[in-house]
Amino acid sequence: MALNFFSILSSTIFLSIFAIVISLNFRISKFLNLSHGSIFALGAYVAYYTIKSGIVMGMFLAAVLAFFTGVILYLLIKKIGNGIFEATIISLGFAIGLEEILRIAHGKGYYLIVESNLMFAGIDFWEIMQGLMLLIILIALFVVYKSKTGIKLKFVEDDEFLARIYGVDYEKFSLFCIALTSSAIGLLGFLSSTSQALYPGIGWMPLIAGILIAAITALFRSIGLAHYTKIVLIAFVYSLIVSIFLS
Amino acid sequence: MDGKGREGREEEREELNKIEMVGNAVKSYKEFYRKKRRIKLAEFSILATILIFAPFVSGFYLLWLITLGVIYSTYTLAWNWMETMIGRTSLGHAIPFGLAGYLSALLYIYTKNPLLFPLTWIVAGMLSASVLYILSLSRDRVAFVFISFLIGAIIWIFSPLFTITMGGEIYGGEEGFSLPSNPILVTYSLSVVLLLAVFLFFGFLRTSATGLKFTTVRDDERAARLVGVKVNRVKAFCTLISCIITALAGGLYALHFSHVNPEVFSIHIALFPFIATIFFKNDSEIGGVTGSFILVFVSNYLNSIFPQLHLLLYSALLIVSPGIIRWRARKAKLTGGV
Repeated sequence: MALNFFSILSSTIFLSIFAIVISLNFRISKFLNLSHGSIFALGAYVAYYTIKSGIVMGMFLAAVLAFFTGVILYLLIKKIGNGIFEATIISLGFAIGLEEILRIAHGKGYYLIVESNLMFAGIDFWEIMQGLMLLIILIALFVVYKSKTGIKLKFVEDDEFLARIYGVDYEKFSLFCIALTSSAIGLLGFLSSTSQALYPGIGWMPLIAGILIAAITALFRSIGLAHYTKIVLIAFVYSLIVSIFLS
Repeated sequence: MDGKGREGREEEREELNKIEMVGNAVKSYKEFYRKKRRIKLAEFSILATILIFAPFVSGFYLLWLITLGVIYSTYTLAWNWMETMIGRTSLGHAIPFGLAGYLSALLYIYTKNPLLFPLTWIVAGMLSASVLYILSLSRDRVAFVFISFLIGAIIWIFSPLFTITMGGEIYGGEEGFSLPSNPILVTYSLSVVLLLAVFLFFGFLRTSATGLKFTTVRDDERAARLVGVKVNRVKAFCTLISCIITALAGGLYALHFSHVNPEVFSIHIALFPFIATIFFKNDSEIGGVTGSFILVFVSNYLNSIFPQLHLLLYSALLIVSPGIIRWRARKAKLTGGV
């Protein structure tokens, strides 16, 4: 059976965003953020309620809601957690809590469908948006890493303790990293809600795939933008292998 | 000459004092462990008495729930064994737990012979142990937690894709597999025998010289190696014991429900022992059993209010768990506990 190049590209874009977000959290906030799966589901549920009334408004709402969810997670970790293991466990508890709140809120309609047939030049509008989102993330990372903040960021990635000693405001970086990556994942959930049936556990599979891609990329020990570019390449190889197996 | 002789006598006396001190320390240490053993024996007797009399005073549903508590308690003790002996917190123990049920269900489809179930449970335990043992070889304990979690989650996500076709019928998938139904008293008796045996085995091994040797691996692998402990062998033994007992509990769990589906690999099953032991001392078998029973009964109550409401409790406990564990450690330090 012939491989569908478009489907591989679409999967590469989707998984790249997930893996970049996971990697950013691990490198800057220093823990494996397992709540991204549930925040992704949150974004998708926002789409279910708002897609008919206004796409821009819905996207904004998903991003803002996810941003503040990230802020709550940061505060919990700061208050209770200490170190990579504890922070990861807290994020796991937070993920389960969020998932259950979604499940309880949608007790009866377990699987939900978001309907939208928007097309642009014969391509699904939502997939174009995901591609655009990846492009914006990569450009933003490029700009940040080339700026003064980028040097501080690399310092934090390399040695958080030393960065603190040299006066880098680590907490600010950590807060923004968790909140902004949560926001991106919420938005991704919104944008990919039309391609699958919604249920609260929808985010686990991409989360695990994202962790795998991020972990494989980490073996190359790159820093800065080179690392995130490699994530896209690994996500492509991953998508290719999966589609070969599925065909 | 006389001065040298006096010095020699003083040195000799000092040496004797040292030997006496070491001897006293060993004696008090032995006494401490003997006392611990007596306490464990008392706990065992109380637990055995309660579990023996439970079927006579419980209705069907309560007995069903107690059986579930007993199975989960065994699972918790097996998980805790790995944590307290070699210092590996596994978030992948749902693998032996679920695999045992799956393998026995598969065997049942092909042979229709339930007598071979224990064999499949042991195979499931050994397979899982080999994976977790390889992971435990690295000294990075945080990586062990992440990778075991990741492997467990991958199996959980992909297990609904596992189906077999036989006689034109499809088995497995989201629905899972069926197992023969059996009287509740049979599952209860088997589960109780397993729990009591595990309780006694762990309790005594933990307070023996061998157990002490094992804990050196938990405390400091390098130091353990230096004093002659075969670290990898200890890891292999502890992982194997932990996984086989978990698989036995998982097999009984599948028998208890007469059914097994992908949920046996779920994160909630993987997290159960971690949550059940949050409030109790890690080296206490009775603590693990009490925690498991409380969690099973509270979960059941919450589920009666709203389906799967217990997961909110899991979530809350996980979030506050670092704080509770630190508080417990502080308290143990103040009271002089180990």
